[in-house]
Amino acid sequence: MNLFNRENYKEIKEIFGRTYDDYINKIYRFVFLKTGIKEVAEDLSSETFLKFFNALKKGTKIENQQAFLYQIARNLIADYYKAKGRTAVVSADLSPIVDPKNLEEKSMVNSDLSLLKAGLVRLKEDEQSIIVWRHLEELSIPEIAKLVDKSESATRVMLHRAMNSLKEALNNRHKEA
Amino acid sequence: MSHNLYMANLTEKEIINKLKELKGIRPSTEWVLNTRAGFLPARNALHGNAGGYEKPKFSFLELFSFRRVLSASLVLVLIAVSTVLVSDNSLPGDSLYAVKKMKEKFQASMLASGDEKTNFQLKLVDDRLNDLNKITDQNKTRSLAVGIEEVKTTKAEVKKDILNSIQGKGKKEAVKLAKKFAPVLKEIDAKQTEAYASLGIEPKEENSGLEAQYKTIVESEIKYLKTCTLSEESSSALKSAIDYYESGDYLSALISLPKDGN
Repeated sequence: MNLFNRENYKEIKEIFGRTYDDYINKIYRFVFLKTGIKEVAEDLSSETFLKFFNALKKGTKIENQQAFLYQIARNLIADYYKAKGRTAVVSADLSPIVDPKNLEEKSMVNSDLSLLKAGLVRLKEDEQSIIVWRHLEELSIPEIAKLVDKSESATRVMLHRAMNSLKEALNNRHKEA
Repeated sequence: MSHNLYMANLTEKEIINKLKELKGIRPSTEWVLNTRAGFLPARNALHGNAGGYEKPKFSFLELFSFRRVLSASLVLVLIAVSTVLVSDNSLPGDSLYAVKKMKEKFQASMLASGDEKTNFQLKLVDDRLNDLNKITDQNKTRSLAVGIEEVKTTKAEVKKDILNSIQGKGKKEAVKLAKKFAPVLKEIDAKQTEAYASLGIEPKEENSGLEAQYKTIVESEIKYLKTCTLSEESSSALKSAIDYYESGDYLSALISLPKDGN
């Protein structure tokens, strides 16, 4: 059923605008950390919100907007790698990640973060996601459990394993270097 | 201590603190605002409701602030509409290109699936090829890879769409649809080959399944027409179609097939 008409447009606009403002940075960051390419992150993030908009338009009942958006983004990222036959490998020498004030700090911070990011992209998709959600976006364990559709205790175990994998990935990079 | 060694020796707590610094990753404000504007004003334009402005409830005393809000809103709407319009001329790699794509995706989403949508997507492939030609003409070498990727992706999407619409139909309708889209696809192929030739590259595409579908349709039609009594003109067209089929050019074969078969 298409519920997109003049009467309910105001409501859709409000929900969409609010959700967009709340989640655009998070979704962009999530996609960027998994693809490492600005243009792809922009494209997939806007596609995520387009699908969200279309869902609102169709009158889909969305109980958890956060879970809905992350799930769309994850599917789009999976499609992106599938369609392009690419593997999720991002080099450490990416363009600067953050923009600290002084040059020395900038160089040090970007170097650290690039290494950390290169470590992250070596993990499995669900490990990357769970680390980003917990330690970047600071979601609670119950919130993450809903996103991964697992019990809270299973989510804790997943997170613990993901952090161990990240440590191992950072260690392996050191050995390779 | 090298950075690699330093990172390898971090404790979990230190790694978590470093992870929090990745919060510095943010999209550009320009992109965030343009993308947002790409969604909301487009709907207003569709309904001829300029600016989507809704009359608020206000008292006489609020008139002054209301006017200011109205002026600011109109300015914002004008900026958003101008951005969307200006983005029409952007090319892959330009900052406004994301807005142009957003607008196209929105337009596509407003079309019901079917011929209308497929025609729109075919037009997008043509637009991407024109973009690529402009990139070449303007010598924007840094945008070439993105331009080529855009052509590839857009074409793959429309081929998938055509394949889905053909597969979902009965034989007669499938042949009709395949014949309908064949000339446009052939024209796009020719234009793509020409654009790529000027860059010294050859089009390489992943197998979408559409080629196999066209092959099956042509095979079946040739088989059927061979059993029919054909006019001299139709026999000649069938012979031409068979030649194309044998050379692997299924689009040309389908286009060449005679219409009559009695």
